Amino acid sequence: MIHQEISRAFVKSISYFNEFIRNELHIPLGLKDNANLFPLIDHMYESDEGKVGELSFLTDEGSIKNEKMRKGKVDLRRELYHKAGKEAVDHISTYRISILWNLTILDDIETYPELLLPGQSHCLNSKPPKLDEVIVKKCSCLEDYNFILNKIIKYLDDCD
Amino acid sequence: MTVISKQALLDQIYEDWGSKPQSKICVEILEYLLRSSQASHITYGSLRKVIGKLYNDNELLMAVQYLCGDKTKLFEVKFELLDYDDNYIEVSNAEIDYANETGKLVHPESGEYISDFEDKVYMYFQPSLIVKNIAQ
Repeated sequence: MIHQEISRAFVKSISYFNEFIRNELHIPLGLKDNANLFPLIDHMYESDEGKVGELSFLTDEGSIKNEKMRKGKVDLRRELYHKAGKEAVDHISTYRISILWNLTILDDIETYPELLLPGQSHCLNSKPPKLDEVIVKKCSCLEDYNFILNKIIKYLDDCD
Repeated sequence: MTVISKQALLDQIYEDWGSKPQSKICVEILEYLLRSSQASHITYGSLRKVIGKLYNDNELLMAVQYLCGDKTKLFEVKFELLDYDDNYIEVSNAEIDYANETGKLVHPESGEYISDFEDKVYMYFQPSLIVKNIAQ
């Protein structure tokens, strides 16, 4: 329910913004449809980008799996239990992922920005699956934020 | 119990779709069903993963619709309700038909009417009995 309310709020905000720039600033072009971020989830999972800290997925036997690593530990993709499970099935259908990076911004300062793509299991039933939000966490500075934004852009381009 | 050969299914697919992308999509999905005998709850997103990025959603949708149809009947269409407690509850096709006619869906367990049921009911695919009886 909360997710639907957030989506509705986004749509409403975009609509108000477009109406404002059209009526008050006389600019005919507004914000267009949002990008579909859902393909990023599996694309990033199948890459070796960062460390996967959290993953949710479905199997075709009907199970819903949620897996989460303790902060800063092994990449979930390389965890034994996860690897064995994945090898036992044809494929998994991912719908939610968080990826963490360890960046060094100065000689002795490290940061740990995190990207969460918060899809829900029922997204996989949609034709096509859609996601219109990301959550960027633990950014210590603008560089961290831009780093993640560039990752999103890069992987979105690769999805096309 | 009717046994159908894999070759007969392939012939049917190529006869119906010829050189269109749907032929290859249907064959890839058929191969997947044959190697994954445990698959019982297949989402659209899963089928997208099976066929990869070569084909667009429109092509995949047409292929899936075909595989649910009378020509091959490899898939049965199923529905489930995501209720207020985030539980998935299977809803029969008859209940969906009734809901579409009346605009009201009755919760299969609580008996309550579900408002805006179109937003809460999701479709998935189940391999039909035919899939279990394909001779390779």
